Amino acid sequence: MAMRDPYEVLGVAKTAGADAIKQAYRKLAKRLHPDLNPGNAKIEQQFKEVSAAYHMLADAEKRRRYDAGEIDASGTERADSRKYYRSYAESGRGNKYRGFGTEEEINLGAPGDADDLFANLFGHRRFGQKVRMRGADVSYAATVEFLEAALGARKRLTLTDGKVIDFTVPPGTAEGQVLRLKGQGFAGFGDAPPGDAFVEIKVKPHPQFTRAGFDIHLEMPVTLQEAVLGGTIEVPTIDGRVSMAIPKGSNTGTQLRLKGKGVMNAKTHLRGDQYVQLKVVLPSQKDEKLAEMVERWAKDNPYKVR
Amino acid sequence: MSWTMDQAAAEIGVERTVIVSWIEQHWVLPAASGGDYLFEEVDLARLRLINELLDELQIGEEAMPIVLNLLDQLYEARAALGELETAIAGCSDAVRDEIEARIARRG
Repeated sequence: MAMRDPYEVLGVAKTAGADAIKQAYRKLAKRLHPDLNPGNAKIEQQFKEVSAAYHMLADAEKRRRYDAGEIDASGTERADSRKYYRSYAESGRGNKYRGFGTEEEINLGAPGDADDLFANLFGHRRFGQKVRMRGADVSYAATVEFLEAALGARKRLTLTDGKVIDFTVPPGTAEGQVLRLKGQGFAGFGDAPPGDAFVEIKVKPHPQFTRAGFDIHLEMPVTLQEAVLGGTIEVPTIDGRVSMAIPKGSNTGTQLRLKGKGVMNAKTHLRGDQYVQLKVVLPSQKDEKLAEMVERWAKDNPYKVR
Repeated sequence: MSWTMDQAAAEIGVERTVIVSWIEQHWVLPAASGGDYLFEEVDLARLRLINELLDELQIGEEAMPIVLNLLDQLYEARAALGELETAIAGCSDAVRDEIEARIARRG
């Protein structure tokens, strides 16, 4: 076949830069790609011409030789014998991509079960399944809130192709833990079972709680009088607020334990504990009376902390 | 003919991890075989198409599921049409004439 001038094919000037050539090619390819125009032989021919022209002009050496008249346009025509996707898509081998990403596929896992034109026309199934193969496993990551991981939650994962997976985050799930969702992987072929989905859990940090194993740690500010005289304060736990007694003479760093307020250990079904670390906070405003009182008290009660 | 993950990645000219992300998004559905994937000719042609859509045709990752979904519907419809044609070709002359007349009257 006689080849047209590649500049003419792409509709660019002889002086066009590499970017302009690439842009011109992309513009044409969007319109002429054979897989986007199945059944149109003329467009396929046009695309081959455009593709050959582009591959010549995109190659600086070939372009130089063409410009210098060393080779003609057909001199670089690649033997483009590749098969496009469309050659398979309409044959039986394209079956597994039918009904791609539709809900029917998720529920039934059988390719071709989706909106089958023939089923609608004649009320019967068309494609016989001969292949039988378990579906592939697949991995995802899901981010959950701190409390969802601690207490357990029902989560929903929406994949890019629209498939939706509902799964349970068991109580006490830890950062990095991988949940196996049986049968939620790729659909099997034929009547073979689907693969499994593996979901790696990422736990968001909580503003107050931190976790160490099955125990919860929390720092709690207390007033000077609560620390010195003792008292009862409200403390948040993963179940909600509870009352906690502060013993008389507590200090910054005093650690108190709330038994059974940690997270569930799935193996033992026992809950860990919550540890509350106290932090004595003085009044935020300067207080003259407090200063006088401490001054008087300090005279008779020197103590060392360093 | 079939390709392993490494062979497919080399053939298409992209990293393994890229193909893995396409698989995870269900853009391509290779068979699983002994811990590796097995790409058939249709899968390889689809990988090449996805690569060209992303690279040369500048279809963004976000739009890719829509484009693939529409293409799959197009091919499914075309396949069905092809079978319909074959079926009609096998009908008696009288039936074919009637179908032709009905199609001619449409609209």
